Amino acid sequence: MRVSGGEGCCLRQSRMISTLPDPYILTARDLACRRNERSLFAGLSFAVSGGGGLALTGPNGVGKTSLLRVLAGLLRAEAGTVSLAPALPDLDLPQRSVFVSSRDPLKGALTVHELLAGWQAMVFEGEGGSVEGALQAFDLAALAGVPCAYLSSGQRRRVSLARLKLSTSVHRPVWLLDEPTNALDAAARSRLAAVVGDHLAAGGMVVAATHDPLGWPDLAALDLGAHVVHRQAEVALA
Amino acid sequence: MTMINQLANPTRFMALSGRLLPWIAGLGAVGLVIGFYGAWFSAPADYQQGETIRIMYVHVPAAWLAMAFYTVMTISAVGALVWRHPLAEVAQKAAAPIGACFALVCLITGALWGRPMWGTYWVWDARLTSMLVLLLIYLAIIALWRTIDEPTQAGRAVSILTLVGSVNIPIIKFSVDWWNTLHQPASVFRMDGPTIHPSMLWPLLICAIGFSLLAVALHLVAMRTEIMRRRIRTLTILAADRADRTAGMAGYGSAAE
Amino acid sequence: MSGFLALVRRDLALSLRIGGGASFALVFFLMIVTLTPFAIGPDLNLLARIAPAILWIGAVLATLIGLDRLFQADAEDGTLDLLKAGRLPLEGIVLAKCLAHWLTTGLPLALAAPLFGLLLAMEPAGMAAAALSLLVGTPALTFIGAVGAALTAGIRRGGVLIAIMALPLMIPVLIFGVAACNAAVGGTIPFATPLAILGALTLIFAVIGVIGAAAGLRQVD
Repeated sequence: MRVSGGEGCCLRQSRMISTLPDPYILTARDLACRRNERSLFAGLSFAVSGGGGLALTGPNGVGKTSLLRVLAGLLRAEAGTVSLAPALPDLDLPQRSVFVSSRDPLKGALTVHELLAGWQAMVFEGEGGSVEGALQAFDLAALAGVPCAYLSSGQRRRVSLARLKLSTSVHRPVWLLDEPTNALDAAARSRLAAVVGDHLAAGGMVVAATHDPLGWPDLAALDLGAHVVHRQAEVALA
Repeated sequence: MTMINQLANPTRFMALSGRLLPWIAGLGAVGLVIGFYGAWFSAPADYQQGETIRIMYVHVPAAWLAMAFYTVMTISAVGALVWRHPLAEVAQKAAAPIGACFALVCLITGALWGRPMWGTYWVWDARLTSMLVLLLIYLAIIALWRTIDEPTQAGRAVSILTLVGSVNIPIIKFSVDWWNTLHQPASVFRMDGPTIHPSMLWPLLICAIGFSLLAVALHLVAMRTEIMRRRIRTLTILAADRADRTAGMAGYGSAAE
Repeated sequence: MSGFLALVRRDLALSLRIGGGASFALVFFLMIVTLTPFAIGPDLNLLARIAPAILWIGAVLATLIGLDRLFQADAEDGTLDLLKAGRLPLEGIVLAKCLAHWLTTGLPLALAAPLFGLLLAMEPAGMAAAALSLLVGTPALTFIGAVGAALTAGIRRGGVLIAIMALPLMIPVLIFGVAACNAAVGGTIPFATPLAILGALTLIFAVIGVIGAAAGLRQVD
């Protein structure tokens, strides 16, 4: 099976070619994943090109989060490969992607500004993003000096997402988002949609796991439910 | 490597180990009978230690096996981490309680032997102390096994702990020996020396071989049990998932009506 | 390098602020020093003789404090996933976190040892030796504990398990730490011998601990 960015994405791509001669292509081949003896999916292949993206759908437990973790290099696939073209010599996919999991890596004792400055120094150093830009993009300027312990869940989610702007679409073209709109209100959702739109326009790509329709243009849908392997009584040693 | 791969296939392993097991256990039993006969009737009593020397025929093989099983675990840990082989994990998990038991047997027989020799059940002799620390490491490894539910994850964590432990064991041995000479300049008595009379040596070797075969048989049984346990676990999970799916479809059906 | 320092700074800030518990280890250390005379009686000669043992056992136990959250907190809230996306290898992450842990645990214990030595009727030479041996030896304790912390990062109730895993491996450090303190106030061996071995142990455990803990964190997924 092959999913490319969809119609809209191809139009956008042709527009981008003048500025980006080599569009990024994320390719997954024959991915299989197994967690706790459960086969999640197998034989999964797809390609996503810059300017487009994938919306992963399917019922609970089909492996949406696991697929994102495989793409982010955090989980070993049981089989198959993932690659990002054009390849760079010393940077692997984890260093060329931003993965926003459903957990918020916030530290209650740090202020929002300290937290983001820490992420920038520890993870996104020299990648062209700025803490101020990240605060601005998610409307967090007013919260910059507030300790994370005081934030509501929607605010925590926005801080979590703000890491997307600590790098640039050139350094980290692949965005991997797990239920990105959870806990976000309408205003925050449209902020996120704008940030994602800029990223796609700059040649980046998005893979998002979602239950709700995201309402973002240029995303092809991939129903992981169709790739689940239901093992019958096949017994294997874990 | 193909040969090892074939042996390492769990199904093949079950078949082969099932056939070998009675032979190994039988040979071990014969070895122990001959060895114990030699130890009781053939070997002389020690001119210094008298009849208590006969504890040696259990104590020394137990000490060897306690160390040998840690070596088995170390090799299995490398197999589990480097080749990610499930059978290596199983071998390592099955070895830990057996090694711990031999360490315990070694300590108990050492204490029983020490009573007539030292006048007390326990002195902080360097060898016994090192064996006690080895038992503690075995217990830590078993504790880690029992804490992580998911077998593969537990296997990797325990493999790392086993390797860290195997790097540490020489350091601990060196430290305990150093500490022992610091506090006890004259060694009280040697548990086993290289100068052992042949009439004592052959029963000891046969006992050691008998105990080793018994240990291998126990290890095989434990590995087979662990493989069965994992199969049951997998089947239970698959059955639960299937039941859940069927219930879900039934739910859809009734909602549509 | 700046990523490394940023991680050390962040961990220090987190442990020094409210909810961080930087002072717990020191308070716990003081508790052990205080409890021992109640257990064995206020015999100053006896206390002076076993003071190095009390200080070192206190240090070993106090090091365990905070170890259970060393990696678990970051593994739970997803910070570890984020750190893995940076250019700092996992070994660097482990080293940075161990350094921060030692700065808030081992270092204060070493600095407070002379003061607590007063309570145990130690001689000045003994106090200096205790401080020096703790300074050299406590990093080894942190590195050993880091392996246990990494192996239990993904599970709840890891605290006691870390102690069970780490304590047997800490025995060599305890042996040479106490030996160094004793050698400073008498005995047959020169002070430098156990201290040098203690330094060697710290270096060995730095390697084993960092590699082992990084391997442990790799399998947390």
